[in-house]
Parts: sequence; structure tokens; C-alpha cells
Amino acid sequence: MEARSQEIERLIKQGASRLLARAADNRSLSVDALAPRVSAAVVKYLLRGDPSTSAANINKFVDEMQADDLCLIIACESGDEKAWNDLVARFTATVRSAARSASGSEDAAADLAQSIWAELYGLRVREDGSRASKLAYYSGRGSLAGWLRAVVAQLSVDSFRKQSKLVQAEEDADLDRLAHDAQLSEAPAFAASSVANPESALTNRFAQTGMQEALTQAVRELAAEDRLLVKLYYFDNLRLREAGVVLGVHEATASRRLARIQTDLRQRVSQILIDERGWTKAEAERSFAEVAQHLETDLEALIKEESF
Amino acid sequence: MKQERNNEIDLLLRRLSRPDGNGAREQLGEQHLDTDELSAYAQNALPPAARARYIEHLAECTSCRKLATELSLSLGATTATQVETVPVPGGLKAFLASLFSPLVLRYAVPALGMIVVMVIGFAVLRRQQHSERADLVAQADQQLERVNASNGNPAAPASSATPQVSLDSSPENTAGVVNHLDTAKSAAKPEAKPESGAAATGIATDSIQPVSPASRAVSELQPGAAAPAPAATPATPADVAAQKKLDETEKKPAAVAETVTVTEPTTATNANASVVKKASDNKNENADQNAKAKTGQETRGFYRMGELSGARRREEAKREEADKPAAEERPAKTTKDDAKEKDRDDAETRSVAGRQFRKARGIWVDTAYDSSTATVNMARGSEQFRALIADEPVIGTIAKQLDGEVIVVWKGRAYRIR
Repeated sequence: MEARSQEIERLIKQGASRLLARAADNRSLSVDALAPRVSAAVVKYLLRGDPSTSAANINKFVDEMQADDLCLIIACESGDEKAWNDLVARFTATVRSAARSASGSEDAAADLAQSIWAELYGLRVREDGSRASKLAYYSGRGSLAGWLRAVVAQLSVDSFRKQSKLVQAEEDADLDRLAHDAQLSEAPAFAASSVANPESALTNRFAQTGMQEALTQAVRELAAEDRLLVKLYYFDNLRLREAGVVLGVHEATASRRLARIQTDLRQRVSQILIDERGWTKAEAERSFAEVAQHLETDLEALIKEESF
Repeated sequence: MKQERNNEIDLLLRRLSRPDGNGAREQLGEQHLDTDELSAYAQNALPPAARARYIEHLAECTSCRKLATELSLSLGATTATQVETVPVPGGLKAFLASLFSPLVLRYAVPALGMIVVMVIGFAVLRRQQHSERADLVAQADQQLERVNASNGNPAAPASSATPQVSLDSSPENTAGVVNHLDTAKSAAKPEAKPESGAAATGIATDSIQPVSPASRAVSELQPGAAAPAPAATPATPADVAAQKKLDETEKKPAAVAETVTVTEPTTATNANASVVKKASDNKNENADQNAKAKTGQETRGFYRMGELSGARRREEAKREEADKPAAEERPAKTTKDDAKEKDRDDAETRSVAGRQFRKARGIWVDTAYDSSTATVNMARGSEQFRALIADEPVIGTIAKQLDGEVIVVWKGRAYRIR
């Protein structure tokens, strides 16, 4: 155990040394100044998921870190005035652009950008006298520009929450949901269930409920990446191209993957209905068609309602 | 059927995603992703295990998913492994790939097919011409035999060596056959003097030499070729008579030859050989005359084959002459094209902001670009593009200076700007 810790420490120091050598401007930092940050990143992103990861993986991880950006941030934290000026000069446009995207108006964007710089500088002072700066959270794994955008987005959400607007919006959404549920409990399950045959409507509702539960279970059982795609596409209403970007795959790959997931889900839902609910295969097949038909009518009615 | 089945599940999933659907109730309250994690996820800069962990969280946490979506879309991160790569021409692989490009398959393959058909057609035509020539030679031989038969020539069996002619009509073989004929003739002259015979043979061989070395080789290989030729003797009245007869008979086969192909006043057919031989059988033949006749045979043997295609050869010569100026112009044109091509190559390489770009298929490609580099696609004027040039103003400068599509390699990542 001790030997492993020592080996990791050695690898990190060597990696930090390579980082300094790789940086175009290492801000005259020492290996000791860089090593703690490198170590934190290795533990967070590598060792937490795989404590027995190989030395090669550690070296690869460190060598993929952003040497210049990390040196700049560490120099800023250590009070290097020139580094701070460089940071402001290089990333003012980035922060402004991100703030503009996250804000409704130019004034709000300017305010947000201002507060971002304040957070980065660290207005609060810790007990040890050091400033509590957001820069401490930059690991050097991604680019500094990307990290700054994430900071802006996060702070934007936080400030939104502080103003209770988001909470209000969530409450509104909940009220809408409750109202919709109430309507559903009073009204027939489907638009098509207003047909003369109440027995048929009841059967359909039963079928839909059973199928919906089975589908929920099947979605839960999906692999995380597949489940994320389903959530992005169906729940967040992203386009396939956008969902692909979030997953880090091409649109065509996302499309193929979604088609495969749909097929898998259908098979799994059938299996759940047959194995766990005692349906026959014919019943499951028929219900799929009927429920889909009713849902189609239901969705069409919903679209019509929304368009008026 | 599969599509229909997927449509059913698609509708069910849409239903599930609605506010009253069970799927909308997500597990919240878990520790959210921090800024660095979100940023690293959106930039696809995480080790696989960490990424899998965060995907698990994102699949359940709506707020983190929304932030991750927003960041991913603004950064446009794509994986290096599944990235859409731009085919850049260059290297053996690219060359082979270009051979099977749709454009090549559409035009070059039919063109190649046409060329193959043309070559086959040409070969078939050539073969037909060869067989026609062989027929003509056979006809000529038949004429010769007929002449021999009509003259009651006992040397007729000597002409039995000629069937070879009909099998192969190349000048070399023809010369060889002619030599064969001479050998037969020589064999039919037992009274021939060795000295003069050798001289005559020497003359004949010499006369063959310029036509084809192969013929000499054949004559050397023939055992009878070294046999003494008819001796040169002083002219007698019988000789004169024989000469007359020779003249008469010489005209006849020549006429036959003319009907066959081409008029060649100085040449006679192989029939002359028999006639000469017949004349020498009766008397002592004049060696010079014999040698002359032999020379004539050799030359005739060559010409006969050549004459058959003489008209065609003349046509080809004309065509060649007509093609000559075009062929002479062609290198000049090619040189011009090469120069143009070179100019274009030079014009299509530009240096912007210290980076070299080469235009390939209408795209400015950074010379540092490698197809395995992770590529981010974005359109000019898009939010993503504005964000990028805000972060990296140099890329903005490059995109400004290079029109159309540009691939820039920047900090280990490629940006494809449309």
C-alpha cells in the first residue's frame, strides 16, 4: 500500500515535471507547486474509478492535461500579477460571450461577467489568509476556456435559483402536472376511449398502464449511456444531432443507437409483460398495436390543443 | 415491420416522457457534478471510468444534464474515436481510396471497359487479317504447284516444304521456307560445281541477311543448305532458250502475284524458283542468274508478306504522319498543363497566422491535420463559432482570411469551420 502511494507520488512528480517542460510559458513554477494540483486531478478522475490503474494510465492522464492553462491558473493563485493580467486579457471575451448566452439582456450579461471575475479572483479570504478563489477547482483536465464557460453556466443557474425564479418555475410545472393528472383521472385515458364501448376503453387503459409500467422498468434497466440518450431525446426533446454532441458521438451513431434501443425496449417490455405479468405473446403484440394507435390519437389531440 | 414496431415503442416513450408519465420522476438529491466535472465531461476529456460514472448521474439528474447539454452544445465536443473525419488526399491509402471513389467508378470503369473491348476487337481483327494472309499465301502456293504441274517439273515435291508458309506468314519464316526451297532445288542439281555453288549460296545467304538474320540461321541449320548450288557455266544457245522460257514463265507467276496483292515489277513468285530450277535441269545454269533468282526469291518471300499488308501499311504511315504534329504538340501542351497544375498547387497553399493550409477538395486543410485528430464541426456565425473565436482569436483570423470550409488544428483538436 505504502509502495503504491510512493509509486503514484513519483509518477505525479514526473508528470508535473513533464507538464512544466511542455508548457510554452511555465510561469517559473516549480514541480512542487504543480504536483498537488496534478495529484488532485489524478485521484478525482482516475484513481477514484480505478484505484489499481496502471502507471501507463497515470502518465497518459497527466500528459493529456492542459499544461499552459494549468500553469496560468496556479500562477494566478500564487499572486502572480502578470499571470492575472494575462488571464483577464485572454479570457475576457470568453467570459463575456458565455455570460451573454446565459443572460437575457446585455446588462444582465455584464453583471454576470463581473461577478464571475470576482469569484475567480476570490473576494473572500480564508482563515489561512489565502483568497477563496474558484480557480482552485480547475483541474487542468479540460481547456480553461471550457471550464470558464462551465463556471459561468453554473453561476448563472445559482443566481437564478437565488432569485427564486427557478423554484417558482418548478412549482408552476408541478401545478401543471397536478392539473393534468386531475384531468386524466376525470377524463377517459385516451381521446379514442370516448368510443361507445366502455369495456374496450377499460381494457385499453389497463393495457396502457401495464405497458407503461413495463416500459418504465425497461428504461431503468437500460445501460447508462442508452438511458441518457433516451432522456436527452424523449425527455429533454433534443435533436439527434444535439443528443449525439452530449454523448460525444456523431448524429448517425446516435440515430443507429436509438433504433437499437427502441428494438431492445420493445423486446424487454414484451418479456416483462409475458414473464412477470402473465400476458400471452399474442396479447402483448396486440396491446402494443392498440396502445400505440391510441397514443397516436392522443398525441395528435395534444398537438391540436397546443396549436390553438 | 421493424420500423412499425419501433414506432410503437417511440410513441410509448413519448407518452412516458410527458409530465404525467412515470419516467418524469427522476432520482434527485444525489451530489451534483461540479464545474470542473461538467466542463471535463462536455469537453470529452475524462477517462472512461469517470465518464461512465458521470453518464450514470446525467441519465438521472435533470439539472446536471441540462448544464452538460448546454456546455456540450456550446463547446461541440466529439470523441476522437467516433469523430467524423475528413478525407484528405495523400498517401497510398488515400490513393487507393480515390481509385474506388464514386466519380472514378462512374466514369473510369466504363471507360476501362470500352478500352478492353476495343483491344479485344483489335486483336480479333488482327487474327482475321493473319488468316486472310495465310489463305492468300496458300493460294499463291497452289498457283505455284499448278505452274509446276503444267510444266511437268519433277522438282514439284520440293515445294512440298512450302505448306509451312501457310502456317506462319512472318517474314523470317518465309525466308526460311524460301531457303528450304533452295535446298530442295540444290538437291535436284547433282552436277553442280562445288566452288561456284558455294559462291552462289554465299550470295543467296548474303542477300537474305539484310532481310532477316533468322533466315540465315534457318539456312545454316538446314543440312542441305550447304549443298553445292548449280555451277556458273558459259551461256549456250540452250541457255538463251532457257532464259527465254524463264522470262516467259517469270511473267506468269508475277501476274498471279499481282492478282493476289500488289504489283512489284522487280519481284516474282516462288514459282520462279521452280522455273529456274527446271531450266537448269536441262542445261548448265548460269550461276549469276541462279543467284539472282535466289536473291529474288528471298526478297520476294519477304516482300510477298509485306506487300499483302502494303496498302494498310501505307495507310498507317499516312495516319502516323497526320498524328505526328498532334503528337509533337502534345508534350508542349502537357508541359503547359503541368505548369498550370504547379501554379495551382502553389496558389492552393496558403500561410495564415503562422499556419500552413492546403486546399484539398475545396477545403482549406491545416497541414498539421491528421484524420485521427478529434474534429469539432461548426458553422460560421453560429454561437459555437463565436464562442470559439472569443476563446481563440487566431482561429477567427484564419477563418476570416480563408474562404469556404476550413480545418484548423488548434491545441490538439481540429475545428472544421463551414
